[in-house]
Amino acid sequence: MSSVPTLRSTPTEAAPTNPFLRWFMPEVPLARVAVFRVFIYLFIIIDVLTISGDVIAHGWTPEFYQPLWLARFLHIPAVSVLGAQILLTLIIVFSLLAAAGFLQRLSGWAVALSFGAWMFYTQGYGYVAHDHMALVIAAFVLPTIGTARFRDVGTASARAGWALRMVQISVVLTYFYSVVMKWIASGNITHWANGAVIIWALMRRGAEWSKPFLELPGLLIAAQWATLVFEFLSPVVLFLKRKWLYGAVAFFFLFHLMTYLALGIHFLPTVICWAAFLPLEKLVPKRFTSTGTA
Amino acid sequence: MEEKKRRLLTSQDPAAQGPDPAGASDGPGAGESATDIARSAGAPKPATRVKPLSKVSVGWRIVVPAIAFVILTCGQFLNTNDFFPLGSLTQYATAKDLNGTVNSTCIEAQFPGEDEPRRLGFNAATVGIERGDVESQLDRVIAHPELLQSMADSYIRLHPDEPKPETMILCRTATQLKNGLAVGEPEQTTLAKWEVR
Repeated sequence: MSSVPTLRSTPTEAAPTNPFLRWFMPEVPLARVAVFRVFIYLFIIIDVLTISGDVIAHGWTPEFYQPLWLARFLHIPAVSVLGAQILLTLIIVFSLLAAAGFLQRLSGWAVALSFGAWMFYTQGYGYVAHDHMALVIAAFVLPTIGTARFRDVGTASARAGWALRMVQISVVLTYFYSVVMKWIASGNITHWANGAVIIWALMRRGAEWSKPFLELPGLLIAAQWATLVFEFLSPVVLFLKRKWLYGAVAFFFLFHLMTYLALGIHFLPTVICWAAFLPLEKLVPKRFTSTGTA
Repeated sequence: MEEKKRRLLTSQDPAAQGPDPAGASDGPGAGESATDIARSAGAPKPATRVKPLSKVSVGWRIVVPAIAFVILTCGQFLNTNDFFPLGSLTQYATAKDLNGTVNSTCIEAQFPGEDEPRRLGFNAATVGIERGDVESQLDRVIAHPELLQSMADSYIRLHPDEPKPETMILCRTATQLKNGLAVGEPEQTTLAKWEVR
C-alpha cells in the first residue's frame, strides 16, 4: 500500500462472490466505520461513568460477586474500589485514543479488553442486563477492521462491512431473542402478551406521569402485543433499505424514548448501536473528503 | 441501473471485476454503495484496485459468529446469563398474572434515636448495590443475612456524615392485582434482618 494517504491510492477490499457472503460481509465505506467508531468509543466513556457506573460501588460489596462463566474460567476476582478506579481510568484513556483514531487496532483492543473486564464487574453481581450485548460486540469487532479514516468515503471495505453487520445482527437479536425468551419463560407466548408485565414494571419503577395508565390495563396489554410483534419482526430490518430502514430505526428510537420516559429504561447501549445501520459517512464534512489527502 | 453505474465506475481495472462490488449496494443499512457516496461527497473517483479477503480472513469471520450464535441460542434455551454477553435475554420475559401480586424488594435501616426503620434507596449510590442485583440472588441473601452487613458497610462508607445504622432490614412490598388493577394498599413483609456490627 502506498504511504501517500490519498483516496485514489487506498486499495479497496473485495467482497466475496458468494451471495450470502456478500450480504454477510458487504463492502462499506471505511469512513462509515470512522464515524461509528467515534460514536461507540465516546459512548463507552458515558456508559462506564453512568449506566454501568456501579462497578466502583461494587468494590464495597465483594460478597455479592457472582462471577459469570468467563470470569470464573479466567479466575477474575471481585473488584476492589481501587481496582475499579484504575480500570475506569484505563477505559477512558483508551476510548479517547480509539475515538481519535490513534493507533487504531491497539487502542481498539485495549478498549475491548478493559471494557470487557468492566462488564464482568457490572454484570457479575447478580443482575445481568441484556442491553449491553451489541455494545460489547461492537467493542470487539471494531479493532478487527484496521485503519479507517474520515476521508475514506470512497474506500470500500468488506472487513468494515462484516464488523457493522455483526453489530446489526447483535442489535436485532437483542429484540428477536427476547421474544424467544418470553416464549420459553412463559410457556405460552399469549400468557406473556395477555399478562401484567407492563403493569408490573410501571408499579415497580414507573414515572409519575405514567401511573394513570395503570387504570387502563387493556391498553397496556395491547402495548404488550405490539411489543411482541415488532420484536419478532426486528430481523427484517437487516434487509430494509433507505427510507424504510430509516423509518424502522426511527421507530425503535421512539420506542426506547417512550420506555425511558415511562419506566426509566433507556436501553441506550443498544440504541447507540442502531447507528451501525445508517450511512454515517454522510456526517463527514466535504472538506475532509474532497481533496483525497489527509 | 445501480449495476450499470457500478460497471461504469469500476471498469477501468480488470481486477475490479473479480468480486462483485454490488455487495456494496447491500451494505449495512445505507443502501448506497461506496462509489455513490464518494461521488455525492465530491470525492475523487474511488480506487479500483481490488484486494480480495483471504480465505483465512473470510473463514474466521464466519466461524466465530457461528459459534457465538450457537452459544447465544443455547443461552436462551438453557435460560442462563452465565455466557454474558451471549446469555439469555430474560429482562421482562416472565409472564405476570393479571390477578397475581406485584412484588418489589426494598431495603430499610433502623437508625439510633428513630422510632421507625427508614427506607433507603436500593441502589449502588446508597448501599453499594442495585435492587436488581439483590433480587437476582434473593434466596442467597435471605439464607445468609450477614450479607446485609456488606450493604451497611457500604452505606457507612458512602455516607460518612450520616449516623451509622443499627439494623438492616431486607423487605418486600406486595401489591395485589385484580384484572390488572391494584387492589388495596401494598403489604410489606420482612425477608431478612441483620444487626449491624
